[in-house]
Amino acid sequence: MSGPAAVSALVEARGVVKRFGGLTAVHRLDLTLWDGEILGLIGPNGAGKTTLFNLLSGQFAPDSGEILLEGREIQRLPSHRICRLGLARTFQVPRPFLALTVSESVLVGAQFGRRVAGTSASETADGCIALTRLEPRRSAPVHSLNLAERKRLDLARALATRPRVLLVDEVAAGLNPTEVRETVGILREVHAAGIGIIYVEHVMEAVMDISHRVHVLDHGATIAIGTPDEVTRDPAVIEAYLGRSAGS
Amino acid sequence: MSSFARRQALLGLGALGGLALLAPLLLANPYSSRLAQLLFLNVLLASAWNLVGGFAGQISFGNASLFGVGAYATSMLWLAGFHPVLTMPAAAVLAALYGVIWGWPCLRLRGPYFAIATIGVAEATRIVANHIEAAGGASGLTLPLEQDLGPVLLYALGAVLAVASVLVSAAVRRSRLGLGLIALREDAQAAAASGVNVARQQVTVFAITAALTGLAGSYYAVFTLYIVPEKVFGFDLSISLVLMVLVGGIGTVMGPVLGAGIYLFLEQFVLASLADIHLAAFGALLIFIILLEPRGAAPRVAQFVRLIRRRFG
Repeated sequence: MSGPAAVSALVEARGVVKRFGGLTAVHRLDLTLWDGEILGLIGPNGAGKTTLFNLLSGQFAPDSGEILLEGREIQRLPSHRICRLGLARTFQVPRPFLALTVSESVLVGAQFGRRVAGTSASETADGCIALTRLEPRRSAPVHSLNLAERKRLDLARALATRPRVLLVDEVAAGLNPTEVRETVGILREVHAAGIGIIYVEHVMEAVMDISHRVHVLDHGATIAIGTPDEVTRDPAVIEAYLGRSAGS
Repeated sequence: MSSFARRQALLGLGALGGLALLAPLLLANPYSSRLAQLLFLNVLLASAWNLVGGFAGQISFGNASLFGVGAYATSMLWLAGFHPVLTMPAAAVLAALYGVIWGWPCLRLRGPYFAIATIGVAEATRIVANHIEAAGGASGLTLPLEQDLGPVLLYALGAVLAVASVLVSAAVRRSRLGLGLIALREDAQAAAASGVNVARQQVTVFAITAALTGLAGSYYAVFTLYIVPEKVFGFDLSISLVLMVLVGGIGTVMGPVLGAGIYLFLEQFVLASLADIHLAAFGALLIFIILLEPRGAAPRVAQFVRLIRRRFG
């Protein structure tokens, strides 16, 4: 794995295994997110991307292997502890708190997330609402939001926990091209604020556009790691997505 | 003092003042003072239930177990020579302790699983209480009639407890705890991923529910002067709380107050003649409410109040 020696790993998975009954969803996976990096995580449906997110964020515990957040083992910790240590996530299908307003929802993240001295929870929440362009909807009940807004709300709520690492799960899926560009712009701002990002996405123009490196999974294992250009030319990746060509 | 705290303090004092003005009317005869006591009791119980049932969305059919602990704590301490009012803090603490002991494991369950577990705990508690001879067994305890606090003091005590429970409810709703509870009610996994310690938030609020429910049991013992396990640990009591809150408006601060009043009214004036079938009648009422107005009376009343204000304000 490449990466300058001086840069430390924000997230490191070592030999992570997760089985569901007879199905091995993640098989002895190694993955590293370097400080200051946007890591794209791609792979065909069922490759194990969302399972990996669930493992990193503590929704499941791995059957074996270690997960380190800034050098600290987190694989046995519950979700809320991992969040407070600085790893936040969004969900593939947004999971809003329907009874709350936009600003209350974001305040949940700000009040319960990682403690940072100097800023109040409401200031943090306001900043995240502004960053995700939800200002006009801040007093709206969450159930009145459309899909694009709900995706941005998931993002705002996660950012309000003041993470060091953000796991973004298909934030561009189902959005129109304008909304995709806007979302990519938001992720760039998040990255510029010093937050490391692991970005799962099927919308290739989005993930290839902003990822520094791309990690490709298939059947729960790594098949390629490299720059966006490198992985798109990689025969293993092409085969995983498109199948083997008839002649070879 | 924050503006919220100041406003709540004023509202609380206002409510107590209003109840003080109503006192001569409600203390006119023994029946009306008993009605007032029952109303205060219901408000306290329903507000307490709503903290965990409404805000955290964990429907308990087992609050009688906490009520009974409070009732027995006060009764036994009173019989041991303590002044009944001084036993109330002990009743609250013991009920909270008992609530945490069984709430801690049970609150790991959610939805119907939690509800069923609470029935089991409460029924087991009732059966055990029936067999503790030191606490009077199945025939219960009779309290010293000659030490009755008298209608005025009982009215004041009830008013303070009821108003306090509503203020606690409003404070919880506004607090970080309340925000976390609503978040975990809406989506426990997403709340946990946002840093909410789901188990701890629920146990914390359940301890408050249990303490208030224990106080209610204590108050009940003090004004009825006679307790038996079948009544204070009874399943009927647990069910009636659920009904009150659903009728009034679950998850709101004023809903339990409304529901407590509506329940008392129906129980005393409309269903009194139906005697034993009153629970069936309440069941029918519940179905009616869930079908027609699942959010209870509170939203409608709030709408009505806004309308009045717009017209006259």
